[in-house]
Amino acid sequence: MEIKKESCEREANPPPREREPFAPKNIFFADGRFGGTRSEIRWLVCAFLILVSTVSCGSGLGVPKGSGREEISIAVSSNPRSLDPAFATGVTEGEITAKIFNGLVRFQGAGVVADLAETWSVTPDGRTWRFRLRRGVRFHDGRGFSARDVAYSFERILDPALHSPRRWVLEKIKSIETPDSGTVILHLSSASASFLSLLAMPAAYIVPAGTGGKSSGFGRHPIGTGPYRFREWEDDRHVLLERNPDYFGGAARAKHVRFLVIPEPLTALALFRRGALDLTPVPSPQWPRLLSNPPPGRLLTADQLVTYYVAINTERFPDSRVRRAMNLAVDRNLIIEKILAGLGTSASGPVPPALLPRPLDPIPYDPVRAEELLDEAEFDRARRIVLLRSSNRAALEPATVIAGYLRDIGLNVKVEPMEFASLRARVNNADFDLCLFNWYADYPDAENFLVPLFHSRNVGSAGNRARFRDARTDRLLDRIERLPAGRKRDEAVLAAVARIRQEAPWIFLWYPRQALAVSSKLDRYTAPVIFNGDKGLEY
Amino acid sequence: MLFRLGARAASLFFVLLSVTFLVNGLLYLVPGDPVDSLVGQSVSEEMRRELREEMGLDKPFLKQYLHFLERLVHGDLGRSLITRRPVAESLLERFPRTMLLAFAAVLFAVAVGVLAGMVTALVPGTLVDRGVMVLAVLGVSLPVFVVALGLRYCFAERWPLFPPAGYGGAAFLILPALTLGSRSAAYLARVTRTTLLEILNENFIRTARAKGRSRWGALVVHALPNAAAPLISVILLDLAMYLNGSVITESIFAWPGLGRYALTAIFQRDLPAIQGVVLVTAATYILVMNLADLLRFWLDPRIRREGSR
Repeated sequence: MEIKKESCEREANPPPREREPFAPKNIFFADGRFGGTRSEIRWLVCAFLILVSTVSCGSGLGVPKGSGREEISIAVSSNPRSLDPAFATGVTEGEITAKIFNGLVRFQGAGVVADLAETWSVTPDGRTWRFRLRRGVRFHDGRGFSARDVAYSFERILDPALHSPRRWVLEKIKSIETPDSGTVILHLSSASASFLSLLAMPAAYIVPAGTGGKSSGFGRHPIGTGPYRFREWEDDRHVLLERNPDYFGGAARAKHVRFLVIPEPLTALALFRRGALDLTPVPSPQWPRLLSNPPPGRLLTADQLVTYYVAINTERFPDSRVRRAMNLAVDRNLIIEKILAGLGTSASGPVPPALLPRPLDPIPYDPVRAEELLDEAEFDRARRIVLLRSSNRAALEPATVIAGYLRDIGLNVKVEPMEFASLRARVNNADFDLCLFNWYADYPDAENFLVPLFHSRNVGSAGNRARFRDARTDRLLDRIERLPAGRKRDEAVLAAVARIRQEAPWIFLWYPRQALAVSSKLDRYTAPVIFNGDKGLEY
Repeated sequence: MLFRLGARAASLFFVLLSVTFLVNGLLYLVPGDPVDSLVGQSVSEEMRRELREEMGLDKPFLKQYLHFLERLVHGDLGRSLITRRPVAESLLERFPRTMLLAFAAVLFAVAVGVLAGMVTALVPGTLVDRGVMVLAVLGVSLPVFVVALGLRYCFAERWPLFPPAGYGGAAFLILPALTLGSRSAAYLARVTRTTLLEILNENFIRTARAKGRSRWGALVVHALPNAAAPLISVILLDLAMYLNGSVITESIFAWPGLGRYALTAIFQRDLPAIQGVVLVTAATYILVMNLADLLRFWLDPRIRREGSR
C-alpha cells in the first residue's frame, strides 16, 4: 500500500528535469520547490524554544524572590565615584555614604538632629561648639569610636594635601580640641547659623583615625559607624551593603541593601515592574503612564530642595529690566502641568518654600508687562540670544518651551544643546547668554540657595554662574551668614530674596517634586527632603 | 609570511601610537574639565586650580603626552582622575564582559544570519525569501535602541522570559546579545544569500549536482566553503566593533561593560581612563582585522597564490 502511494506521488510529481528539458538559468533550483526542509525548520524552531526555556528557567531570571527583608534593591543612575566622604560630591555618593557613615549630627526633614553627638552647646558668640559624643559606638571593623576619630576626620578634610573638593564645608573650623574621649570642642573663625547643617553633610562624616589619603583605597572599602556596612562594589553594576547588627540606633530591618547602577530610567521602571527593584525614581514623562497603570507597590511624590533656573549672564544683560522682562515672559504653571506632569511648584525666587520663613507669591506670567519693560530698557530685540541647555533628554522640552516664551515677547532666542562638560566650561568662562541649570541643596538652609549663587565673591564656578554683582545683595548675604538663627536672620533672608527677585539675575523657574515607585516591602519608607538624609533604617 | 607578520606588527605599533596621540590632542582641545565632574555642582576657582595642578592638567600638552607614553612603557595605564582606581584594573574587569556579549552576539548573528541566507538562497523569489529579506532590511535599518526596547517589551515585560536588564547568569545575556546581534544577523543573511546565489550558478555546483549531490549537500559542502571568505570578513568586522563596547546596548540593559566605562570617562573628561579604553579598543580592532586577513589568506588559495608571488 505504502509503496504504491509513494509511487503515485512520484508520478504526480515527475522530476522537474524531465519537465524542463533545457537547463534553467540557475541549475540549482532545477528541481523546483524547496521541499523536504520544512521538518528541518520545525526542528530548529523547537531547539531554539527548548534553549530559550532552559536558559530562562534555569537562571531563575535573577529576580530576587522576596523572602521578607533579605534584600532591598535601590536604583541609582550612576556609578559612585568614591565612597570616601571626603570625595562624595554627587547624589549617588551622598545616598550611599549616608548609610555607611554617621556625622556628629544628621538631617531629619529640613532640620538637624543628634547622631554621633548626643548633645551640644554653643557659646553666645556662636564661635565655640561643644559636642558630647555617644559612648560605646564601634566602627564596622570593631574599633571603638572616640573624640580622636572626630578630630582626625575633620583635620583630614581640612588638610590641603588631601585635595578634598569639600574642604569648604569645614573651612570655618579654626581649631579642634578633644579634652576627653567623649568631648569635642570646635573653635570657629566666625559664627555661622548654618554650621550645624554643614556638620550633617557627607564631608563631615566620621571616618576611623588613620584612614589615610586619596590612594589609600578607603574610597572603595569604606569603614564607618552607620546602620549598614560595606560589603561589595562592582563598577557600573552594584554596591552591596549589609546590616550592621551592632548599630547604636538599633539594627536596620533589611539584611542587605543593594544599589543597582541603572543608567536608563526606563530600564529601572521595567525592573521595578518585575519586582527586581524596591525603590526607583520615576522621570516625569513616565509619571502619567505609571499613574494610569500602577505597578505593584506605592507611588510617592515628595518635595525636593532643588531649584531650576535659567542663569542670565548679567555681564551681557546689565539692565535688570530686561532680565525682569524675561522672568515675566515664562508661563511656569503651564510648563509644570504639560511637561513636568504636575511634578513641580512655580518658583517665587531662588529659595524653595520649605526653607523660607514665610511663603512668597510665585513670579507672575505677564507678557504684556514684559514687553513694556523691554521697551523701557530700549532693548535691541534683533540681538541674537543663545539659550544653552545640556544635551540631557530632561532639558530638551523645558528649554525649547522657555525659548518659545522668550520669542513671544519679541526676543531673538535660539536653543543650543551641549554636552554637559562643554556647557559647564563655557559657563565658567562667561561665554554664554542664557543657560538652563539646577541647584540641589547641599544642606537644608536658605543660605545654601543664596550665598554660593549670588554673592559676588562666588562669581563663576563657585556657583554664581549669572556673574551677578550687587553690593546690596552682598551686604544682606553677609548678614545671613553672620546672624544666628532667629527672626533677624529670617528678615534678612526675605530681604535678600526680594532684592534678588528685583534684580533678576536668573529666570526663576520651578521647584521640582520627585516621583518615586516604592515596593510593598518598603512599607515604612518616606522620601527624604534631602538626598543624603536617608539612613535606611526603615527599609 | 614571517616578513608579512613583522610588517603587520610594525604597522600595529604605529597605528596605536598615532591613535593615542590623536586622542590626547583632541581631548586637550575639547572644552570641559575633569575637575568639574569631580567637584559636584560648585567649587571655588582656587580649589579648581589646586585640583588641576594635582592632576597635572596645568602642564603643556606635549609634556602631558610624553608623561603618558613614559607611563605606558612601564606598563602603567595610570589611575582614573575621578575614581582613583587603576585604569588597568577597571579594563580587566570589563573587557571579559564586553567580550562575552560580543561573542554571544556574533554567535547568534552567524547562526541566524547564515542559516537565513542559506534558506533564502535555496528559494529565491518565493514568499519565504521575500519575508526573510524584508526582515533583514528591517534588522539592518532599525536603530539599536528600538530593537532593544522592542525585545525588552516582548520578552521581559509582555512575556517575562528574561530579566529586563542587569548582569549575571546566561539569562541576562540573551536580550542584549540578540539586540546587538540582530543587525549583524540581518546583514549576514543578505551577504550570505547574495554570495551563495552567485556561487550556485557556477559550473562546479552543476557538476556536483550532476554527480548526485542533494541540494543541501551541494550547498553546505560545495557552495558554503566558497562563500566563507567574504562572510568571515563581515563576521570579524562586526566582532571587532562589538569588542569595542556598545554604548547603547550596554546602557539600556545595564550591562557593566567597556562601552559604559568609555562613555562615563568621556563625559567626565577622565583622561587616563579614555586613553586606556582607546588603547585597548584600537589594539583589539587591529588584531581582529589582521586575524581576518590571515584567515582569508589561509582559507582562500587564490589569495595565497597572489600573496606568495
